[in-house]
Amino acid sequence: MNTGQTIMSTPASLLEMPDVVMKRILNYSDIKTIFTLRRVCHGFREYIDSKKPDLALTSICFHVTSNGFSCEMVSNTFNHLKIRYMDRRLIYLGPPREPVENEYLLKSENPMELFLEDVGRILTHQKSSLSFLSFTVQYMRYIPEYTRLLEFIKNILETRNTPLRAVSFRMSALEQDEVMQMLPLLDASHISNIQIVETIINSYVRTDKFLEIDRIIGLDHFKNAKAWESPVFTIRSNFGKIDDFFHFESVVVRFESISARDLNLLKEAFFTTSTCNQFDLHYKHFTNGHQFIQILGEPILEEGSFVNKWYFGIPNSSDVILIAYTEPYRQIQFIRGEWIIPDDVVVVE
Amino acid sequence: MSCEEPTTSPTPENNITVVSSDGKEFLLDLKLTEQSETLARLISNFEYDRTDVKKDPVPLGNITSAQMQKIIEWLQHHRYYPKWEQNDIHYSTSFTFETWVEEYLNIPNNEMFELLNAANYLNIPRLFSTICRIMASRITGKSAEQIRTVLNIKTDVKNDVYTGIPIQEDSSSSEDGMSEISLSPSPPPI
Repeated sequence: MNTGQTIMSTPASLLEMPDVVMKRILNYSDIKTIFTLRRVCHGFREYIDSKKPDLALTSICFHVTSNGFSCEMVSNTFNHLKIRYMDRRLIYLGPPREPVENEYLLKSENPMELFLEDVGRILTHQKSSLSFLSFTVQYMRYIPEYTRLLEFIKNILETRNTPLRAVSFRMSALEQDEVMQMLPLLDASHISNIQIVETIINSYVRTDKFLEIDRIIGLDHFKNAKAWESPVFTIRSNFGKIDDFFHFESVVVRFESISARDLNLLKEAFFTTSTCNQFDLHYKHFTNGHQFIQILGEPILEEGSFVNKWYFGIPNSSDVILIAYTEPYRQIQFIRGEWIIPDDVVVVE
Repeated sequence: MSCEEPTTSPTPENNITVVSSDGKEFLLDLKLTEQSETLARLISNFEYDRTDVKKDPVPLGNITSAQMQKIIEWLQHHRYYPKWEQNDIHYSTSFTFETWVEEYLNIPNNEMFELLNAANYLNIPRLFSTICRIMASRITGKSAEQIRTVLNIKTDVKNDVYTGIPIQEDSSSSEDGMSEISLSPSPPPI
């Protein structure tokens, strides 16, 4: 391990120790220490770059805002670390409520290069599974910068020996292509929650934007995940159907058009399997809507509320299915649970 | 020098003799050897825990008498500690140490490295782990230059030339040596 380029004044140096020593010390070190060690001497640098010790981060969030690019990280050994590239400067921020001494302003010929270098290293070194990974953009006008960042990250993720593992994945996207650039590069067996938003400013605002979702639906990531949320985008029936989403435990989705037939399929899925727990369905058009509503019987309508509710008991189960239909909002929700049902409410068996 | 003031005196029945590289013999209580996986395996292989088996001195060619003395001090102190369980190393990162441990490891780097080597050779997980943890605690939150001082590393590599790592613009914290931070250090969690 000793490269000969570093002169050690002690008879035994860390780098002359068995591999297990350095490995263990790095296991006890956080990301900042590991990256600082790279700059201590050639030996450490070569060791760290070749062994790529795990950073054990639990969350990585990339964000493009009016404040520039940022990468926010959380791990169990430190609370919060953010690197931010802004106005040709690079800033490192400590935990939000800690004193300003944790903020460093660095000057460099090319701070953007340093930012990307750090990002690249973070994404190459992270080995353990992340609970959360996100790529978001604040406003539409930063899309070009966002696209540039995604392109860079995509190239980094492609060079990894094993795909990055993340349980929850959240991404700003305007089109399917952006999602397809990133999602397939993650470990398909690990992913559990997928959330596709537009810009952060518009993350829950109803838009008329369409998301072609056919290629995403074909991914193992989509098939293996347990929760899906795409509240902003409208899905056209030629790209995705309601039953493509029945394997999720929880869904928030918006379709251009749904029919009484779709709703019957959804109802059947809720009654025959215990997978589906929550299905939040938004739509633009509801074909034969009244026909479906009639089948459900007389709704419970609380005073001053638009929400029509029905409760259905499930045979051999203490669970009850609640169907909540809010016509003015063009929303139907199916929720399975053990509801505390008022005495005067009839549960249809 | 705890080896000379053991809580129970070793008797031929419950001890073995180990010999350091410089030929010095140490009488070691079998109870103490349980902390060393290397010695424990050896004792079990040769059935030295039986009273009817003749025990030959065990040569420890890699360990000097000074190091053995130090190790025995550790073993004595941890005599009644529960068996070491290796937790998930990522999540057991605590940089707080018993005062005894801090004093015990308040030694020059070269001695620390030698002790680490010995702990690795004798496979004493609690000692090995503690030294690694204390070394990590000494480099955490430090700048590259401070780490060089802590680890006695001399390098002809100039950071900014070699890496292009920026110099801090804001002078407010430059006095505490935070001048070449890329991913900047903050104090370790207590």
